[in-house]
Amino acid sequence: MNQPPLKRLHPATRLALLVLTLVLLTTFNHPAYVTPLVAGVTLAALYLCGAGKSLRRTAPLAAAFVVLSALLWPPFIKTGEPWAHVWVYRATNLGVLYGLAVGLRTVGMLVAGLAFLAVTTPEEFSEALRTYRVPRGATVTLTLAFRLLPVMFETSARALEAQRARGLDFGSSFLSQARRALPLVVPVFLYSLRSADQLATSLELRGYHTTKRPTPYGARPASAWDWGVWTAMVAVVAAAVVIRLSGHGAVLPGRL
Amino acid sequence: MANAFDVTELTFTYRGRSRPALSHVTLGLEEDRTLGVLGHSGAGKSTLLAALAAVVPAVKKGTMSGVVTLRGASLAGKKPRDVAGDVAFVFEDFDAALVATTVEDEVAFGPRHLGVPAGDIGGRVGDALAACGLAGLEARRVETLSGGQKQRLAVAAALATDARLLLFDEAATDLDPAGKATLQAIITDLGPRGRTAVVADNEAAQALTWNEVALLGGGELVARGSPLRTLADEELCRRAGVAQLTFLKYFKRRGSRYVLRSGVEITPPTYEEPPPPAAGPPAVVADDLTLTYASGVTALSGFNLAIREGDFVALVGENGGGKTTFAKAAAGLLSPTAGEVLVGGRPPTKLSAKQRARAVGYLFQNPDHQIFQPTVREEVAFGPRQLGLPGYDIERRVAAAVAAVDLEEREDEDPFTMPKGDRQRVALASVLAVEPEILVMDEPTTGLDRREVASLMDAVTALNRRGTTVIFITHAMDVVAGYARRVAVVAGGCVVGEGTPREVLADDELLSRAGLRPPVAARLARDLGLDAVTGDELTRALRIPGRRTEI
Repeated sequence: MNQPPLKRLHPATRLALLVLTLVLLTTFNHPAYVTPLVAGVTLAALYLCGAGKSLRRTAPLAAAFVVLSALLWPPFIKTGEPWAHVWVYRATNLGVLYGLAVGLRTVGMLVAGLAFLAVTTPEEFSEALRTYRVPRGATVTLTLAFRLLPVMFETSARALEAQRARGLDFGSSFLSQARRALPLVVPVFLYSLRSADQLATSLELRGYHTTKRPTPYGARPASAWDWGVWTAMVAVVAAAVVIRLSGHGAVLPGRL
Repeated sequence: MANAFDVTELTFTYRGRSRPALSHVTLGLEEDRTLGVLGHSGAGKSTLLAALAAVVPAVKKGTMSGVVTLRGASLAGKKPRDVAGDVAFVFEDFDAALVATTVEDEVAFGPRHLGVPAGDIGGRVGDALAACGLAGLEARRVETLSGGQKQRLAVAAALATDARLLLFDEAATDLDPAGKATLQAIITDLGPRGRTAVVADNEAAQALTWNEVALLGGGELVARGSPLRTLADEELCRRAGVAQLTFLKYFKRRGSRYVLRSGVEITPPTYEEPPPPAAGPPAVVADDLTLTYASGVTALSGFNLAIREGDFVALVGENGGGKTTFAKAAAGLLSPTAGEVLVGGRPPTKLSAKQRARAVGYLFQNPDHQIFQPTVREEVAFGPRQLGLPGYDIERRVAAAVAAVDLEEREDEDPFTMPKGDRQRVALASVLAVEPEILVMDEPTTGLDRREVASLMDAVTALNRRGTTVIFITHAMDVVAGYARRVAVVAGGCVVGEGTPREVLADDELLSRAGLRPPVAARLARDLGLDAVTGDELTRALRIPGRRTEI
């Protein structure tokens, strides 16, 4: 079977890549620096993780988020040259640039998360957490949350279908769809809660809480590639931190 | 030798409830035996199984008294993790209990975490998948499986743990009749392999092959004994709210077969045939319909079917055969890839949301996906409100819909706290309130007990008599035999046969093509050269000279 290249890495390496990518994205707050990083993450998600389907689905939301961020941050940033002043709304050049960078950065984090989800199963995620000796309680909670995501998506899709069948018109605009879908949070939430309960019991009855370390089955041990990728990524992040500390890559040097 | 389990004077009341779910239940089972636990919804079947797995009271909290032991060891103070490896549990909500992403990982999960050596896991996974008819699907992602396939996967995952006690809580609800027969064969084979099984079920006919049955009613143990004697007893079955198989009293068991007792006379009765198929104009027409999902799976291919106004049609067939896909296409929830489906002469996807809701009402299999309002009244009123109807009309429709499903006086209850049978009726009422011309129901009787099935299907029959076209998907062949006027058999994404229930249930070749089996009464009747299809018909055909036969 044709696997995306990043799927061939050990789950612990993939988790490290995700965490280091998030650190890398928070290093800069200038759009000129953040944009190439987000572009790189997106390309990696598309071509190394095969996450095209989920990226296409979230693209409108991501675009809306960047615009909103660029509009909402400026009133909180007083420094810089005034760019716009409409009634009580004031925006400076630095405020807009910072808002844009924060929006892009958040989208980059979302893309990195989706890419990770596309190549990592809950079992692999659990294995990665065990590799880093994350306490068992936290591992169980995080794995359950990871497993419940698709359950929630599926339940939401069915709940929407059920209401459409009863004549609910969700409209064509994003806002009207969001407004009309809001009441459906209730059944989705309740069903997910029930599912979480059931899932936890099922895990327990199938030996998840025994003290034994699970028998490796079909898992590849970490290879030289994993170490290579790990080292390269740490080097990139270290270089980014040095660049930032040397006074580059920030619209507002005092802020993250 | 200690029993596989012993339950002594077990009483359990869930937190926040006043009535006990189980009351003074005493029950034990020898090793390597199979026990069927039957009873109405809320009889305490699931609670009993949960107590045997230490889920009650460790996870599902409440007040408990009495003793539960597994092979002589008390479960007091134990958690499910303490019995992992000794007990395997197939949950009623099997979908929520699946933990892994691929079929192979799901089955391997238990053995891996129970410390089975790596070299043995592959064999266990392969054997369990082959036993459940899932060989070849190892790499499939779990969410792409059909409901029936997921249920088989849950069974395979339980088998792979190699536990000595296996608990099956309504484990066959989503399986087609062939799948149910496979599961029955798997469970029957557990005893000879040194395993003990407890099978909770609503369907009495499913229990005929087990060593023993226990009937629960209102949390109490009503009876325990051989399936043949217990399920033929009218009074016991009535108290437990399970379908009484009256005809069984004329049979005796010989090995795995049932044969007529000596002296029983056969008098073929005159059957009460259902009304003839409707002859009105077409309500739903599928013409060479093809539908391929975004995942690339083609669910329908060359699907042709015409359903006339006022008809009452059952869609039956194997898991994954395309029944639900057709129903959703007819309701305008899915668009055809090729060919067409017409409702009242128009493609439903071209109708507005309101027009579509008026044309086709769709009852989903799981009421929890449909219900989202805080009271029954608001839930039922939701559809009419979407149509923009005036208040008085909404009130009239709500009252009529609630009355049709026998939920009057309960309009102010929170539907989320109701039992599943009642939630299903709330969901049906909410569809009926829109007063659709066509009612489509996807496995409406799944998980309901005999009384709930009769109540729901009687309400739908009354609607059909008033002119509503009814299309229902089901795996319950006794419901088909008892209610449908016409049956369409679906397999491999197309309709492979049509006819009256009696015609379809007599056609072995057609049934086996679609993974179907006639109900047990029809099978026994056929052995006797009769063409009875329901238990009542078979009972009417048999009598012991000198005794009066009552139904």
